Amino acid sequence: MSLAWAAGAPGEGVILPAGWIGTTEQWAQGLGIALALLNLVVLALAWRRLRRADDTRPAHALLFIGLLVLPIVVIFFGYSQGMTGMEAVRACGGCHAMTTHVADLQDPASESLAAVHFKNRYIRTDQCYTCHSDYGLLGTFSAKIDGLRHVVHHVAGSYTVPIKIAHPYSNIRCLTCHAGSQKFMKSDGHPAELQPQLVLGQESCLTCHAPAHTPKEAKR
Amino acid sequence: MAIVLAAIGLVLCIWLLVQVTWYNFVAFMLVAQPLLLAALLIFVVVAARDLKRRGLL
Repeated sequence: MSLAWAAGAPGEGVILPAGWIGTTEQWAQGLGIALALLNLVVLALAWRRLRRADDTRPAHALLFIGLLVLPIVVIFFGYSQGMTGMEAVRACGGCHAMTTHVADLQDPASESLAAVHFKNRYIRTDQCYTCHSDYGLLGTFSAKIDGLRHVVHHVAGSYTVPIKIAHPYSNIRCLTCHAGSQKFMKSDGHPAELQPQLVLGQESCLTCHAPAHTPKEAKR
Repeated sequence: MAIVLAAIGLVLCIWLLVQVTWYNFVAFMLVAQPLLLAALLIFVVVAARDLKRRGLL
């Protein structure tokens, strides 16, 4: 894996240390797949026993495991993998309406706010989700609901291009990372008298730091 | 029937676990889980009938 490639795709091209055995997420993914396959084997064994034996009790024991115990575990891993996977840039770029935004985000030549954050690795992973979800439990919940709404709009085709953000962008999303940093505090652009206005959302960060995205061409 | 429904649900789960996209996540949420639940309900009904037939319930 070359450094040039790594520079082209921050977040995915990190050179791994020797002895790397994967992340917890990757292990959870592998375990989930293994348990789902085991579940299929248990069901196949139960099917065979039901067809061959008059006494269905051994088959019922297998079915109890294959229809209740293992599926609960597999669904748990499915949620774990699905919820985190839907936060990835790849998942956001899965809709045609978003491809130009993702292309701009990943374009090293772009100077949009999103691209600057991406190419400098200010945000290491899940860049779309990190900036477009509020923080805390309710933020995660509302982001998931928004994501579901986006899927409905995508499937129904009930959106217009170029797409626009549904709600004004909240300063809190910026300030959660930037507020308190020396660069933010000492910047001439953030004088002490302006900082309360930024915190209260009376002045948008994007007034000075726009454009957030510069998609070249929107397609349906 | 329960085994077939559960197998379809599990295949959808494996699809999601291999590679997450919004297609298979929606399939997991709206199809796989109801199929697995339906399979479990069918099993419970059949098992209860079997136990009743044997006089154990």
